[in-house]
Amino acid sequence: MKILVISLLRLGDILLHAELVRSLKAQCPKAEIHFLINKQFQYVQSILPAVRQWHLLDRQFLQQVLVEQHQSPLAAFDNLKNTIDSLNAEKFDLMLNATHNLFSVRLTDLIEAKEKRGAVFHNGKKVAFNNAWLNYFNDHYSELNGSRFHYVELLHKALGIEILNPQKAEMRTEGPIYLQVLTADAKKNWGLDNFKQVKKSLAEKFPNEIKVICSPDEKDQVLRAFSTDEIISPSLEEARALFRSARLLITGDTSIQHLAASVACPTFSIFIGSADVKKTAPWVLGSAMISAKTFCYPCRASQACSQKAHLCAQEISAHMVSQQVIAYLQGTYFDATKESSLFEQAVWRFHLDGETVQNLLIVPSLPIQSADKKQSTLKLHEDLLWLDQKIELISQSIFGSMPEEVIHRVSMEIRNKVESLRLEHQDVADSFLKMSQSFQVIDRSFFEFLKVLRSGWKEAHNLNQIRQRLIFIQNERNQGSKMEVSLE
Amino acid sequence: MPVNDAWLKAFNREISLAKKVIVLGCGDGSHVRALLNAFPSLAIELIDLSGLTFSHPQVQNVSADKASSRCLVLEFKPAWVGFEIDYALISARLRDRDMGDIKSLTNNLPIQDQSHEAKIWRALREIVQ
Repeated sequence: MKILVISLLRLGDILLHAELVRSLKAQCPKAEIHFLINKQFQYVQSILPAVRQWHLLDRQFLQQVLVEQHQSPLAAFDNLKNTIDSLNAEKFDLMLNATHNLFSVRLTDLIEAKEKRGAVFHNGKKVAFNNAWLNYFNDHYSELNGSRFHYVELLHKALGIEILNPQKAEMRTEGPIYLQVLTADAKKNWGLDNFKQVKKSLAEKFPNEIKVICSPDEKDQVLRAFSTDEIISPSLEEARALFRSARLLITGDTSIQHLAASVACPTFSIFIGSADVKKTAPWVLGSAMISAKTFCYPCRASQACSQKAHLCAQEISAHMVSQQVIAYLQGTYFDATKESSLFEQAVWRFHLDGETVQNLLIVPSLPIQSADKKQSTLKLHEDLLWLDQKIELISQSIFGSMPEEVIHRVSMEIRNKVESLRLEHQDVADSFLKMSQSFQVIDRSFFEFLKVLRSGWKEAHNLNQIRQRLIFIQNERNQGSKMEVSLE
Repeated sequence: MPVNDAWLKAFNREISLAKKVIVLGCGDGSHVRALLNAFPSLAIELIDLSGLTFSHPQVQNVSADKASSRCLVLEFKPAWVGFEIDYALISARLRDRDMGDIKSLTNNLPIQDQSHEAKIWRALREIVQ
């Protein structure tokens, strides 16, 4: 079977897409896997030997031609046409669009394959998503705090590929400690001085060699805080070899983090700026991380920092990181924040996998639900019933003879209610996203508006029913175990 | 007002000062006939990408790369169907102007044009969006 993966994002994304290769090979060991990547990242070929063939798209050339108008756009046309022609000569059985932007979607309309998965166009029209996970990816992933799931899990499920468990980090007492002190985005940089302090604290506690990693381009910048003999600039392949025997990598959200995770190197990651720990934490079990808690975190990658000072970086002190790293290396580290999101992940998984409330017989182990959680879920249920009544009123207004003012008034009531629910029930805010999005279509057509509003309500309602059911089952289990104890 | 008359009216002043013009697009040739009727001594170089020709002593059917330079270029867009972007590029080159950015080029593409070439142009547009 010949498979093409369209991977036209940045280096870190290509490294995460390599998980697809692992999963595909597990499902179909004889599969011949091809990757389409941007030419500027062609050096990644040496560290992903499982990919049989790499196809390079010269995006930098295309951009240059198209932006610099004294050049004929025909040069860009011919270049892209040649790339497409060579891809079509391969006659792929399966094409996976792992890129999910408009350019890649347009390419899916040009590249031939027996089966195409992901965001796909056919003759200029979007092919409807018949995959709830792909819809979730499309609706939620780009939103701030939108996704409950890691990018790798979401991508696998959206593309219909069975996911393998991540590798477990190989904890060691020997081996160097590496610090990746810069990222590609200034907002994600924690600060060279902070890393310097952490290095000093660790050197006092551990005998391991500690080295700073940076690219040759970054060296001048890094030399402001570190000396030449502290710094190394390995190639991707060299870095991967180093991580195979490293004790630890301390890093921001970078492609190096994912490279280390791919060889089960223990990592401690610092998530600030636009780096969303839920989405792009290292895909390896047993890694550690710290993320900002400021109101402005996470922010959009495409926008400059909205604050006068780099608040999210300032909130995480070098002392805090040193303490947590030491605990991690000594085996006493515990991430409290992960536990609270497990419940919501379980609820969404049931929903996206198409489970109905009645089928919730086998339940994974869940954190114990507090009385507050149960109360909050019951209140949410009441609020959703209120919404349903108002939506019903709008549908009557549209199909009946009630005036438009009524529709507008009720719409505003619903809009305000949805916003207050998003704020009040922070842990389930994304389930109201669809309803919120419906207000963007209201000027086009009331019918469209009603359709999106209903769909959002149904989703929120289903999620809440799953939540209530899971709480009920968990409470029954707790009651059951208490009774066993008393009988003894 | 008929298409040909409107078209002539738009370019009347420039044509009256020219000895030779380049016309992009043959179509059914009615606009070329109208041009010859209005300007009996005008020499015309006609470029048509679909292979159509116009037979007349004053009309020379040429390919885009053989067209004269420093000539008035007249676009007859109703005859451009299926070759909108190609004609736009030729026009820009003959007028020695910017090729036009990819957005304005692809704006000429009819939605129903789902040819391989049109899809490539649309994909290129996404790169600069």
